[in-house]
Amino acid sequence: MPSFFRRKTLITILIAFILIVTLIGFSMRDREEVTMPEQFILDTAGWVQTIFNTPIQWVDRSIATFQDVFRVYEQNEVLKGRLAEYEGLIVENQELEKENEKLRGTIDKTEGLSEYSPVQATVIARSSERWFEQVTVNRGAEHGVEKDMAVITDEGLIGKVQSTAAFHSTVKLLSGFDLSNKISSWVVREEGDNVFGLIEGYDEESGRLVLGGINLDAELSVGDKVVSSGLGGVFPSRLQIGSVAELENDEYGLTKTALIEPAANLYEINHVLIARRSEQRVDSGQAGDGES
Amino acid sequence: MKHVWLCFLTLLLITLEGMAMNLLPSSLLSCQWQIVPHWTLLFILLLSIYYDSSDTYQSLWYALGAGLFVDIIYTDVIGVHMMVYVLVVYIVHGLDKWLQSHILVTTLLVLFGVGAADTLLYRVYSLLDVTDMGWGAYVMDRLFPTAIGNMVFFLLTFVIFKYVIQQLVDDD
Repeated sequence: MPSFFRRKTLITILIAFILIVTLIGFSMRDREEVTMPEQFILDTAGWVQTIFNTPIQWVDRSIATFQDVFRVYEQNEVLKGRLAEYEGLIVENQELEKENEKLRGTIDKTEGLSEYSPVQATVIARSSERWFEQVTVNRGAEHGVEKDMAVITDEGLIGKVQSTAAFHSTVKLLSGFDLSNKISSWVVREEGDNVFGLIEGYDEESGRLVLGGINLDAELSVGDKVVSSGLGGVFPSRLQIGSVAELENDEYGLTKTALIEPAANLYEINHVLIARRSEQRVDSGQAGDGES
Repeated sequence: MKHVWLCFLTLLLITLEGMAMNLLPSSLLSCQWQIVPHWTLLFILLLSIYYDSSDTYQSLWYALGAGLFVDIIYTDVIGVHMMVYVLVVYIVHGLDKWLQSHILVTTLLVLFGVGAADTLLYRVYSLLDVTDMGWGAYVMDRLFPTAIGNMVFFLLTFVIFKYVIQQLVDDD
């Protein structure tokens, strides 16, 4: 490469470098919305993936059905046993619902934080760059998906919507959460009040979520369930997050930190629900600290 | 026409990377080793070796485009893959000029390209605070498994890729 340091080449390299740095800087900002070209590329890739995914999904589903057929008898026995339990629960649930409605009526409040309308979606791809824990799902802005909505499976919370294109969106998984994606949550105690905490990130070594800001006096024990509180603004409340696996005091001894074992398997995700909270936010401008 | 085909193939490989990550057994994902598919880069490296002559630089444009697409589809940060892909393809293109065309040389060049690209990605991402992996952990847990994984893919697809590229060259 004898002509490498000719002036023209040098200037080209410099300009390219400046452009790259600008691009990186531009995309690293906390953006409200991705730009049009990006949305277009996301959608294009999404469609190609959908075309290939459809037959694979079909085969996958047939195999699952086949396996189910063989397990039907055992499952039936177990479920029959459960059914009796549920009868009682249903009655109890109805009573509670009625009471809840009545109480809500007295305070003129019709919708709670826990109600949401789900958008069903299928995962069509996962980021090939392992340091970005994100997946692509086949529902987008046209289906009512918005940035920061909670994404759940039947096991529990798996992440939140990071960006949306018209027909596809990317979901940041819990394992990719950092300090800018806090989730306000409750630790559910069987007796006594729920304990408040904030999910502050993900500990890669142990594969657990870090629940910080817990009051020092709060009594927690290993195995307690953790659910979202719905106080942050976007997430509905009472979404399963996980269970307490480990407790420690934080470095200054002012609060407690708990490590949470996520309820959902973050590595095998097929069908997800995107939870669109029914209750409107008061003002999105006020809750501007990225808490959700 | 052949550029349409090449663009299509590149796009296909990019989307397949993501689908493969989704479809691979979860035990492979949750274990300590990180195997990262660099299939698109692999294809573009072959393009620069077999398609470009020593003074055409068409593969660089593909590297630029593919890098941008990977950045947008799979990461939050735009520009990193783009820069790394172009740089690596340029270096391999330069090296290819001085080396004989032989399958062993090609394999080593591709291996070098994938390794260099992954290391560069690691450096840039640690500068940007995306990852805080140490050097030792990176080499053992990510560089080696990635190199091996991509070599397996290379050996499986080499014949097909070479055939396709040869066909396109013959069209000229």
